[in-house]
Formats: sequence, C-alpha cells, structure tokens
Amino acid sequence: MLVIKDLTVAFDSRRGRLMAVRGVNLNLERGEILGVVGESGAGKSTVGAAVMGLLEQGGSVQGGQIIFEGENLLEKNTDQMRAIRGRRIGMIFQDPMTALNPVKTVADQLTETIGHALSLGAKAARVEALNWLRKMDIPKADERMDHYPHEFSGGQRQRIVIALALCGKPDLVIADEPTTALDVSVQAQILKLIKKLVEETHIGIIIITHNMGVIAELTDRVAIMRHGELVEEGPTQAILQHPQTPYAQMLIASVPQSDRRLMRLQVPDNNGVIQAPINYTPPDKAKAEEDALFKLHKLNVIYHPGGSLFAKGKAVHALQDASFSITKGKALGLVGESGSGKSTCARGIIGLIPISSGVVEFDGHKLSAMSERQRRPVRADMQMIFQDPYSSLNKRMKILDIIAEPIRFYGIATNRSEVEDRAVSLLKRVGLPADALNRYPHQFSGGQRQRIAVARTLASKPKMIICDEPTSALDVSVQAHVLNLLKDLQDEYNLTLLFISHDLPVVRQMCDDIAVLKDGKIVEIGDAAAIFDSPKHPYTQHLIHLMPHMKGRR
Amino acid sequence: MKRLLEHDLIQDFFNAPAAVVSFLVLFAVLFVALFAPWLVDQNPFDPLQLDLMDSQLPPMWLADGDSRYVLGTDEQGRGVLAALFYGARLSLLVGLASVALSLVLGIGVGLVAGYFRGWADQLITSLADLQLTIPGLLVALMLAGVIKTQLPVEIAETVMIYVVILAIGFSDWPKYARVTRASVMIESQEDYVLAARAMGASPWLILWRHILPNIMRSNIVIATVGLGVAIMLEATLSFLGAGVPTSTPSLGTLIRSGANFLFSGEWWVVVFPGCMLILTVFSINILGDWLRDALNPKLD
Repeated sequence: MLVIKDLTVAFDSRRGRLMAVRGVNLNLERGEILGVVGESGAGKSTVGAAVMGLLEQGGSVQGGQIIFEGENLLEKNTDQMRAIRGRRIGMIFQDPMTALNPVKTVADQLTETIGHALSLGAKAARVEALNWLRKMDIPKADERMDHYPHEFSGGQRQRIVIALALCGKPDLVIADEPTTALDVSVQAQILKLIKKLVEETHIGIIIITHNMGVIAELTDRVAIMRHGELVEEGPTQAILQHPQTPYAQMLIASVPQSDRRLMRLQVPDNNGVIQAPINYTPPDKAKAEEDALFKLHKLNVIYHPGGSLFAKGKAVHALQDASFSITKGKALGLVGESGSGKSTCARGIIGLIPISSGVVEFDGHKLSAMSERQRRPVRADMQMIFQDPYSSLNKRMKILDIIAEPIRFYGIATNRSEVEDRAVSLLKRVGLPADALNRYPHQFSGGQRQRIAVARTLASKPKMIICDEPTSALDVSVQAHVLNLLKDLQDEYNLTLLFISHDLPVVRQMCDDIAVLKDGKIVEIGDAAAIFDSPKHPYTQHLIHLMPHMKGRR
Repeated sequence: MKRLLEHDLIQDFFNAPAAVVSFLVLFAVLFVALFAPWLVDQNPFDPLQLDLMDSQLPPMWLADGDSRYVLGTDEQGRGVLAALFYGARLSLLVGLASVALSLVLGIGVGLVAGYFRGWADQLITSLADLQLTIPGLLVALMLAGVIKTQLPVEIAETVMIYVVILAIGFSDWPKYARVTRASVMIESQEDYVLAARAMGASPWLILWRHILPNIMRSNIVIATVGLGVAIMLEATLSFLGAGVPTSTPSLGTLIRSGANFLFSGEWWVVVFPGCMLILTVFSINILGDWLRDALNPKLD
C-alpha cells in the first residue's frame, strides 16, 4: 500500500544543511503494523512528517519517492495533499493535551472532520462521531461527547485523538509516539485498541516510537533507524531475538529487562564491543549492614491549591501515611503512575514542599523537626537528581560554576584552584572531559547533561541521593550508560538511593527493594525480586501484567 | 574576538540591514553626545559664550549664513548644531537614567513578588496597578509645578533634571515588574531552581545567582523600547515647560523654543532638533524590534 523509496529529507538552518533522513526504504501492506524505532535525532518522526507532507519549516524532500496506492505523494500540490490528509492518511500525535483544540467540544471536532472527510451532513456526522466514541470505549459517550477536551482524562483524550485520526476512514495511519505521554495502564489500553482496530478495519499503521516494549507488543515488522539511515528492517520477533547489525544489538541489549537483574546493563565499550551480560549476584545476607540510614514514618503531604485572598481551594491529600526505611548502601525504588505521589514524596523528604505530618529521619537527624538553618549542614549528605537534564542545569551558568556551587556552598573547598581541581575530578568520574568546565549546558547532549547533574550531586560527598525519574527523558542507550554510572557510584561510595520511576524494568535493574504507590498510598513494599516474581497486591499485579514485555528474550 | 563574531546574535545582526543602520545612527548620536565639547567650539549652556549679535542666523548654506554656525543659530545666538549635540547629551542622559531607575525598581519588586508570592505579591501588583492609573506625564507636571513654585529659581533649575528622571523612572516600573514577576513564576518551577533549593540555598542567593540571569532577556528587550519612550516623554515634558530648564536645553526644550519661530521663517531652530529626536527614537525602536526577534528562542 505504501512504498517509500530512497527518501532523503534535508533541513536548512543558519548552521547549514542537516540531512535528517538519508535514502530510507520502507514498505507497508494493508492490515500491517510497522514500527519505526530509533533514538532522538534518528529521523523517525521526519519520515512520518514527510509522508503526511507536514515537514517542519526549513525541511524539504531532496530525493526519493513516497508511493501511496500507486500515486507518488511527492508530486502532489498542497491542495491535493490536503484532500489526502485526514481522508486517506490519518495521524495520531504524541501529546493528547495539545492535539485537541481546547475551545471546541469533542463532538464539534469529530463532526467537523467527519463531515469534511466523508461529505456527511451535520446529523449523520454526529451519529458517526458517537459511534467512534463508543468504539473507543469512552464511557457514557452520548452524554460526554459535548464536553470539552479538558474534561476528559489523559487516556480518554488520547483515545479521542485516535478517533479523530480514524474517523475520516483513512487507509493509512501514522502514529508518532502515541503512548509516550501516557501511564502504563493507559498505554496498555491504547495499544490493545490500536491492535483491535487494525484487525477490524484492515488499515495500515506506522508506529513511530523509541519504546522497544511497544514495538515488541504491537508491531508485525520493525525498522530501526539511526542518524537518518535505516539500520535494519524485518519481522519484529526475528529482529528482537537475533539483531544482525551491531547498532541493533546494542539498542536491544541496553533496554532494561523486567524479568532479570544484571550487574550492569550492556553497553558497547570504547571499541564498540558489547560485553556478555553478567547476572546480578545478591550480596551475602550476613554481610549486609542492617542499620537503616533513612527512615520515613507516616509521612503526609496535603496541598491547599488555589489559596487566594477570597477563596480557599479544596485540600488534596497527595501522600498518606507513607512509611519505609532504606538500609545504608541499598536502593529503594518508588514506583507508581503519574499523580500517585512519587515526586511529592521526594520533594517532601528533601524539604522542597512542606510536609503536613510525619517523621523524616536521616543519619540520626530528625529532618522533619529541624529548622532550615539547622538542616543546612545535613543537606550536603542528601542530594537530589532531577528528571529533566534540560531544566535542571541553569543555562546561563558555565559547567564549572554549576559544579562549583555546592562545593563552595558547603565549604568543601574554598580557594579557586582547589574548587577547580575538585570539579575536574568529578567530571572525570562521570566520564566527561575536563574542558567541559568552560562550556555552557546547551553545548551538551541530554545524557551528558544528566552526567553533569550527577557530578553536581556528588560534589557535596552525599551519603544518600534521591533520583526523581533520572533517565526518563533519555534515550535507551544513554539511559543504560547513566544507570550503569549510578550503579558504579553507588558501589564506590556506598551510596543509599531512593529511586523514583514509572518505568518498572528500570527499577528492577536499579533497586533492592520496591515500594508501590497508588493515589498517595503505599500499597505494597518489599524485596524487588519478590515483587516482580509474585506480586501480592492486585494493583501491583495489574502494573506488572500491563508493562510491555520484550517477549521471548531470556 | 573570533568567537564573539561567530556568536549567533552577532551573525543575526549582520543579516539585518535595518538593525545595522539603526545601530550606526545610534552610535553617531551617542558619539556626538559624549564628545560634544570637543566637536563644537561653543558651549550652548554657557551664557557668556552666546552672542546676541549672532542671533537667528540661518544655516551656513543659505544667504546670510555664517560658517561658524553650520545649522544656524536661535534667538539667543546659540548655535543650533552645538545645541543639538549638547541637547542629545541631556536627552540620552535622562532617557538612560530613567530607564535604569525603572529597570532596577521593576526587577527588584518583580523578583520578590514572583518568588515569594503571598501578601508581598498582592501588595506589589496592587501598587503596580495603581501606578498604571496615574500617567507619568501628569506626575511629572505636578512635581515640576510644586518644585518651581516652592524652591528658589537656582535650586529649582539644578534639581529639575533629577525630577524629570525620577518622574519618568517611577511611571515605568510596573512594566518591568510585571514581566519579571511572570518570568520568575515560570523559572522558579524549573528544576535548576529546585536543585538550588534542595542544596539549601537562601532565596536571595537563588534570586540573584540563578533566576536573575535567566529573566534579563525579556527585560532588556522591553528596556530598549522603553528607552525610546523615555526620551520621547522627556521631550514632551520639556516641550510643555515642565522638563529641563531652557538654560540647559534638551532636544525637547529646543523644539519648544524653536516652535515659536516656525511661522516667522526661522524653521531651522525647530526642524533640526525635531529630526534628531525622530531619528534617535526611530533607531532605538528598530533596534528593539530586532532584539526582540533575535532573542526569541521560538523564532530560531
């Protein structure tokens, strides 16, 4: 149905020409789901945009053909392309928050598209719209279709986006990261829905994603891209189990597995050779120190939002009676879906938000009973790594100043050369060259920035680090490097970690114990292996069941 | 130097001819303003150097023109060119000083309002709203009236320039305060601010070291446009007689005294200062427009 031949796309900017896609060949049959996977900058989204004729400004197709049902789309003018978009090719966007028009009701948006695509009258289009919402399992669709997008949950909104893409009855749908912004349980629903639709309507779907789990669950065939080139293409299971090219092998090896724990994730060494995996061997129970470095007893956080002069907002109980402890040198994973209170917990512990009640005990200090002034010296021992390496580094400060700040602040070193020496050794420890010191954050990639953030947290020689989704903004291979680095550092300095993530396989790889949060309450807590192998609480079972698996790889 | 030339902003600058021309014009204005004493022989602010015998001479290229006064003279025998250079000096001084005043004031209270929120925020935003209801022109006129009637003439003349600076500076701070407050509210949610808070840094350290450098961009853009507005405001005040005294004329004062002669044929007394004022403010605005686009990350 769709044949992409030798597609080449270039972007012109003031820094010169960038070849985003180079000579890519792809095929898609009816009723087939093709996955396009790759890390950021691989050009996977550009391929989708080129098929839609919606390249961003500055982008242009330099060569090749896109043949859709026998017609070359590249020869169409804008009017002809507009007729094809929506009616014959649909698109599902990544972010359900911005893909819907917030000032129009769902029914309006659907009927407009349906009326336009199928040339139906207003009444018929409304009936059709209702049918689609029912098909998407939107509860009480007939009542709710006249609601505005913000009145639906994230998962429902993404289903509406899918309905919007499909209601014109297209033959081909391009889905760009359709589940990336969603929680696992919602993701599982959406993936199931897409699969069902393909079986029923026999359309062709191209899924663009960076998530290998989604690829494994959903696609028939997969194409792996890197630097704008097609690296490997073929049936999904064959590629996942026996990748041929070194890049594909590396990409697949660096995905953390939910069913086993490795000493370190597999990443290529300097020569590009991937080492065989070494399975994790739990340390001798007898040797383990049993004293808890960190204790949390019945922590409660209640938000009072919208508090203004005239109105008091309704209080939100974001965290209820959270209690756990972490043994020195161990890692506890805090998992849960968005809104479960994971970040609230971390921020309450470190004192970024006020806690309502409860006791936070760290290294013999009762943090929750201390004033900010009393607490300051203790802060050096407990540091935090944030999720987004793009916003966690001040873009107006040089790397030297960023790393030097805690060194000076805690009085670890005061004179210039000592501070600089310490900063250089920290950078070296996280695998960055010394000349990084005089550069600014924007000159580094996401992974490098996260290393800088790690160097900053290490600057004060902490005993415990709170990691709030430290790798969820990173590509898988970069994630593997950063996770390995964290493990190395944990071993080297006997660090205690509180590791917060929504990504269960990552938590499995990093943590000794796991606490599962749901709606602000810890529903299950215990040994990581035990929880993954035989979860007790229904919610935990549900989460583990829904998580996308890379089947057959053991 | 090489790295500076390769900087995006500089590259951008050379690709915008309008910006280059305005920059050159502004540079010229700044140059004549700074080096006025060395560029013209006569000090138009010194009554002893004025000769009534030379009054109302036309520009040198006209009949009766005098080569000592390139652009002619006014009714007191003051060379228009000299007055222009010295006047630009005053206008720029008042403009820059008042913008600096409102910038410092606006950013200061904006930082406090945006970071601490609560009652401080409510107080500051209310004050800003209140300030916006009182036109700066009115405040300046009122102050000028009070000062002129209450203080001896010599003192009134020397303090008038500071009064003008204060009046313009105070009328403009809410603009910077609002922009700063909004940017601070966004920036303080960023992880780098949380990281600094997690380190235990005090609010003042965070505001000074972390947030301030990140909010300067938008303030600089508004300040550029604000400079044009401030110079115009000063000219208006001086034109209405509430600005700097006639003994030390700014561009506005020159236009005021020149306007009286417009219909008696001595056009040069008003046209040249008028052109100077238009050219200066126009260049500042073009430069401000360019800066706004060049510093907008979304237009990259």
